[in-house]
Amino acid sequence: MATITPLYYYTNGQGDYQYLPLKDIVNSLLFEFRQDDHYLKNIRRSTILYFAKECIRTYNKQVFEDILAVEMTVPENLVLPVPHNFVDYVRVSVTYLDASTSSYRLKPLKINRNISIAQAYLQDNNYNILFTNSGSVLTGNVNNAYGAPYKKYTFDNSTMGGQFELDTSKLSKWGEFNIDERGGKLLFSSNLYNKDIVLEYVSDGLGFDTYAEDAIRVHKVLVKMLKDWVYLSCLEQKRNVPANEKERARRRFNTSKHQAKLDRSDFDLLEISRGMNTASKNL
Amino acid sequence: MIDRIFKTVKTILNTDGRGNFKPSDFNLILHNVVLEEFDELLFEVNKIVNRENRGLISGALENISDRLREKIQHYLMPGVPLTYANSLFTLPSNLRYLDDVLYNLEPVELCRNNKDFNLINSVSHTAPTLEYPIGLKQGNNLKILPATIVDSITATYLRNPIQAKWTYTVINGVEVFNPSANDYVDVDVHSSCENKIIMGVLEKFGVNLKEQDIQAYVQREEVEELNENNSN
Repeated sequence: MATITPLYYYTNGQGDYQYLPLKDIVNSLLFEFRQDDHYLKNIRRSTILYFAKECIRTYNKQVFEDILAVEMTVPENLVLPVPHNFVDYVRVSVTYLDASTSSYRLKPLKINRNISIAQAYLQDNNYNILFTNSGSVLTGNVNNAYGAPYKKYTFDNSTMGGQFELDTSKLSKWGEFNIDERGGKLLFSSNLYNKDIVLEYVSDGLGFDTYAEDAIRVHKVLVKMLKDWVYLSCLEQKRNVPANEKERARRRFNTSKHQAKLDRSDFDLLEISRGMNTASKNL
Repeated sequence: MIDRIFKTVKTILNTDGRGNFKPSDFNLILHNVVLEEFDELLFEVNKIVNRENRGLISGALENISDRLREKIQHYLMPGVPLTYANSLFTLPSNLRYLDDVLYNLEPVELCRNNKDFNLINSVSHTAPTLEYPIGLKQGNNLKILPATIVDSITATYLRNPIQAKWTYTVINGVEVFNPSANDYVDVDVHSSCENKIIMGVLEKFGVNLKEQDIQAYVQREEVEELNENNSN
């Protein structure tokens, strides 16, 4: 194992200690399974790797709640790509300069499904659908937000109550967006042009696998649960393992999953005490 | 060791009634027995490990599976670099069984067969990377994926036993052992296998010379050994 000096840590490696490379976990499982009388002594590394990645994909959001964030500036066409490891969004906000403190605040944007992401089927003069040589439907951006960037309503506050009959539940003071999940794009309303937006999103923990070698890292809180999951998953497929061992493995996994959730929930007496001390709390 | 084996076999066999045996016959039979013993070792380890798992084997020096593994390791060739040619790594010519393959100290997962190899390669979670390379033995070559790996592969393997040769000089019409001959090769077995090799050679000579009492003697010894092994 590489020796990390304090200099390296304070210049490059901050935050690394919380994580273990997936490779280390796979190797430690191989080490644990190596005894001659172990049920999984002949298990293949690829099998362990498969179940380990399945575990990360399945439980990363459910247990770990690892929220990632990126900041991007909205271009003229009001379209931004989502990060490659994007699975679902948590919140999209615009950065807003608070003049009183000269610092930036995040102002959440509202999702607006009326920002169209529909691909148009191209048609001829007789309204027949057009096809490519290979038989696929020809599509294009016509009236969607790609073809015609979405312009935001402007409020008329000249009279109290704003515009009558306007469904303000669909509006946002700071701006609106929609997600084209299949296209991997975020589409914004016109008032956000040239503004810095922050996308908070969740991934499945396998994103770095797309590009790099040994980039998958697992938070230490999850390691025990991951190991128990791999053991259970490998064991369940074995014909000669007694049912009670499988059941024991299942219970052990459930316990370690529960413990991992507790560890990640930041649920402690101090937080409860703070909540109870709030002067204006109306119980 | 070869001369001790030769003399012991000769002592048991070489009565007037049975006549002499040719050194060339001895060399042939000896190599055959060594090969048999080599393959048997792997089965024996399995057998002993099963007994060990039932709690029937002592620890420390008396741990028989460890001792058997020592015998196997007599043939171990650790960390031999492989050469790359035509998208494949060439395996050493003296290879018997492949034990472990490393790419820059990262273990290469050796696949059981082509189907296994293709399957691991096609599943996204297990697709080979520089961190998790996979390999498949193809004849005397090794195919390694990902294909970007073209060097730094080392193999640890069990080699074939070297063919022993009892060399001699004829003095007064009698073959006298000559270990100084250029083509002299001692028996290539772990030193603890000597007795087993003698018994194996005797059995073969018993068949060769059609001596039923020799064959019966060896078989009786084998049965006794088997019974001893299974008695506890």
